[in-house]
Amino acid sequence: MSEAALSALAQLTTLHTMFALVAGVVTGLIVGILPGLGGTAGLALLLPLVFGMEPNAALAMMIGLVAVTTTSDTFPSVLMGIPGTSGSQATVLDGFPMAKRGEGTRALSIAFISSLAGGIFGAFVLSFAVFMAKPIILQIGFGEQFMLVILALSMVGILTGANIWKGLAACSLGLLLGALGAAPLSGVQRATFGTDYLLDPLPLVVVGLAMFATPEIINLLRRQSSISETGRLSATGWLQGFKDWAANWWLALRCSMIGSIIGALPGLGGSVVDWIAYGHAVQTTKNRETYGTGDPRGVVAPESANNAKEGGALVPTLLLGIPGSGSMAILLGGLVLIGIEPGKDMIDNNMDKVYLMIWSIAAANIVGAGICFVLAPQIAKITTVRYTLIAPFMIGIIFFAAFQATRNWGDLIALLLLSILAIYMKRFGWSRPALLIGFVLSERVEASVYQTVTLYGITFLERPIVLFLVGLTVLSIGLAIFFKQSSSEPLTIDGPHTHLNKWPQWLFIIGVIAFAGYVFQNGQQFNTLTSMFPMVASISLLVFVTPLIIMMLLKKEPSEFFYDSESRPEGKYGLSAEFYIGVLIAMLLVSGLVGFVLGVATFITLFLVIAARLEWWKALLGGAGFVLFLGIISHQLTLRYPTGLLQNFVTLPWPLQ
Amino acid sequence: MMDGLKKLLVGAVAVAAVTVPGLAHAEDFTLEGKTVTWIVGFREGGGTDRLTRVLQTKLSEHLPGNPNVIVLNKPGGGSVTASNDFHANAPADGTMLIMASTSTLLLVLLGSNVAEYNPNEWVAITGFARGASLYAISDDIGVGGTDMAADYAALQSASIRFGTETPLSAELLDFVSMEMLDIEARYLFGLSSKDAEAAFQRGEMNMNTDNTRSYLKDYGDDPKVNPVWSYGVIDENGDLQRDPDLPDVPTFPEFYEAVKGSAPEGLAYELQKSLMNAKVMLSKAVMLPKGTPDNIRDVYIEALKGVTSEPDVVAALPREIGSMPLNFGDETQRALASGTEMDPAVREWAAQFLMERFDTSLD
Repeated sequence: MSEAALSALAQLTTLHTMFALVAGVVTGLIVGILPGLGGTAGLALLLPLVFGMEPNAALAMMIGLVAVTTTSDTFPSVLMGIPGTSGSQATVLDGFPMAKRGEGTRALSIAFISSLAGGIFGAFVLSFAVFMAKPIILQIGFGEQFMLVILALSMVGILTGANIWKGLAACSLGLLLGALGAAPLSGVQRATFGTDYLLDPLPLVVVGLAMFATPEIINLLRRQSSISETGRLSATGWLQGFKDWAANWWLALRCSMIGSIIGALPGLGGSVVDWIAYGHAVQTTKNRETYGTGDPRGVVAPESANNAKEGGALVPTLLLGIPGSGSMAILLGGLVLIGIEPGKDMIDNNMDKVYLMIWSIAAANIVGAGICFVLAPQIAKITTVRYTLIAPFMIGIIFFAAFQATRNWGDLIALLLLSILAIYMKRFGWSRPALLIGFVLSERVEASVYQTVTLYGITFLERPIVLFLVGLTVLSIGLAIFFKQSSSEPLTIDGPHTHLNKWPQWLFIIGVIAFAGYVFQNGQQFNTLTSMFPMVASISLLVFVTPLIIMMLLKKEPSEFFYDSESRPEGKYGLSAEFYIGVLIAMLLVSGLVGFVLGVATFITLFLVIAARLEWWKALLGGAGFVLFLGIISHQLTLRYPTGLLQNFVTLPWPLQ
Repeated sequence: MMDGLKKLLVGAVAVAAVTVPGLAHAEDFTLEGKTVTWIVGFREGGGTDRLTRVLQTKLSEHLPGNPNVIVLNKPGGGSVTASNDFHANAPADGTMLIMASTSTLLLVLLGSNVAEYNPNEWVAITGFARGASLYAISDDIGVGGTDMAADYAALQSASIRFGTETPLSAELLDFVSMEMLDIEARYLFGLSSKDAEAAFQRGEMNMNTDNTRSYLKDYGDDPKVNPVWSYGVIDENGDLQRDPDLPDVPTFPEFYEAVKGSAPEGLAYELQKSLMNAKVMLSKAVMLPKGTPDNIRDVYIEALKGVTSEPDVVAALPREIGSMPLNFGDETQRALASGTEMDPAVREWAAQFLMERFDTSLD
């Protein structure tokens, strides 16, 4: 065993293999930093190169890439509030408020050291798990997966925000969004609103961007001159971040364990790891009030977990030949290309290759975090730039990112519509994390409830791991009840909890109910396999909204049942959110005429001239720069941007298509 | 390569001699300076994508003029989005081709209302046949894999648990086959092939289907897992032969005849054969748009023959290129017709079967 480990280390440290590893790491950092792209897109990019490469170098390159996408994805999450990959959505909650306080460097520093330690922990777990985990993984059947999903769902309890009913309703709304499109159990298209786009379920990337990125961008545009409210970066950020991490080493270790375990087990999938780690942090630590306002622990938790996840996800991939995540599926393909067949055979005969992967994960995490550390102070300066200068580019980037989901016009429209939903959820105090958790888990909820009940009925409760998970779930719900979050805002008549001017909130609730009604109505035409889940989700939404409606009717004084951030005294200034929604719609309309590339370029140029008051030539340069960026990416990744009416008549040269 | 060119030349001369003048000659056709776009209707990383990307690396060398070849992923609806677009808009000048898979054909075979394309009108170049077999945990079900009559008795009395994605998936082949033999099974839906595989490894499912090469790799030397039957392969005469990777395992019709005393026939068997063509014979298929001239088709057939015989391509695709012969041109087109067209009576049988067994309507 140790012989194979040492021989693998020797193989990794040859110049050729190291070079391949670094090349993989750099590619991984780039795709991680670009929102919407992640390990899967990066590996697809490498696959043709891997074909025909020397196996060790190919392995190091692929692992190098996968291992670090969740390191660099922190840059957009922390600095701009845009989740870089679905693995760092929870990082936004506290990382971005830190950046707004001028502590961008500190937040990044926490994130990178957490990622580094988490990644190495994942490699460490992997080195044992390849020998021992098989019997454990084979114990995780449908019943256990079902309870894992329920346990994850119970995390919603602690993330509901000030009003529990709104939080539960938001979670149901997430489940309901997950019920659109092809049903996982029957393949039948339900609640498609008559569009081809919803042949498949809504993509997670689009929902994540809509929930977190757009509302923040618009909020910042309305209120601030730069992301950092002080306009500066605090000088001590670097070292302070390291100290923050060291002070929370026990939390970091726990979250790394959670990350690697969830990565290895079937049933939950990687995209919920960061939320579970975040929920765990909130549940198990003191002074919870500061979460969501820029608490360093809110960065430590998800970042420790999301890098550890990759080592975990390799366990079933290598042991059983069954990929533990999307990027593992493509990695598995890459392994076959270079002549390595994961599974029993690999563990028996190719142990040095397994160790090569383990060493590669560790080395890639060190190299990746190192590069990020070096770049962090420079990149963090973006938070001190006047926001009107960067906002149009960010809007361009989130639409670019959404488009990566299915490369369809529908992605852009879905992002717009969901963004509008998120803007009003933020305004009326509906928890967006709760919606996201509901959405991420919706497919698993639907499938695992049906599978468990069909196969076992109630007898699944007789299984020991199930009982253990039931205990954890009860504990998790208990903690949520015990810790009742209270609003940070006073219950006053001139604050957001005022009972005056309720009609915007009523309109929102009516909209949500109408949506649930449509899904319910639509579900009735299908068989049980297709209709059960949308019906249950819409009914649960209605059930959770009912107490809210009753209290809103009864209460005649400021209360936590009311929330409208526009009722703040300072909420009045700046252009309205509706104005910016109009701007986004206008951008898409122009794109519909001249295609996405020219549409966004026009938008950026005009925005820079009108809102940022730049000179024309500078603004044009900005627009042209973005076109070049899109052009380079489309060339590298072979993608085609959405076209407009113009493209029906003329064929434009690269990069203007 | 020289042989291929010669054949092409002869073919082209023959074509030119009998058809209207003005049709481009094969040797005139070049893609020099052009970009060939290869559409994949799935996202990066799946089996279809991987196969395409491996073939892509060598395709340019085998095409006249050595064009730039790119792979374009257009995921959506199990390749529906890409196929609809390809059918309506792809230029028939050899600059665009598509990698279809079983699911592309299945949707048409079953008459899905979202599929606005007809792959029969497309011009077939190559079909990748991939053997499929049904296998079971022997302790649990009592299948020994040696005595068909004993296996059949075991299958009829066992409590079979079979995991699959949806009622309308490629596993419909297995459902119909078992229905023909009056074998009862509990089907569990919502499981992708990797989920079903994992559940089988855990023993929660005790029957599974997979392509033969994967089955052999995972369970070839495992005495606890035995194949029940394979779906065989259709030879150039149109006859069903045993799967070359499983020479000792009966095909489904052999199994049927051994236990039922007569060869399978009737509407159910017609459906079974169509599904077998879509799943086994055209596990993946390379196609050009409708209306593509024959000379371009021939150029691509030769190119794909060349690519698929490159040693490192063969080595990288152990599951796709092996003992199953690849089919080309007319042969592929025939399999395509059988895999996508159904007699109205057969369709009616299928609709009734799905409704009674799974409460699922065909439309």
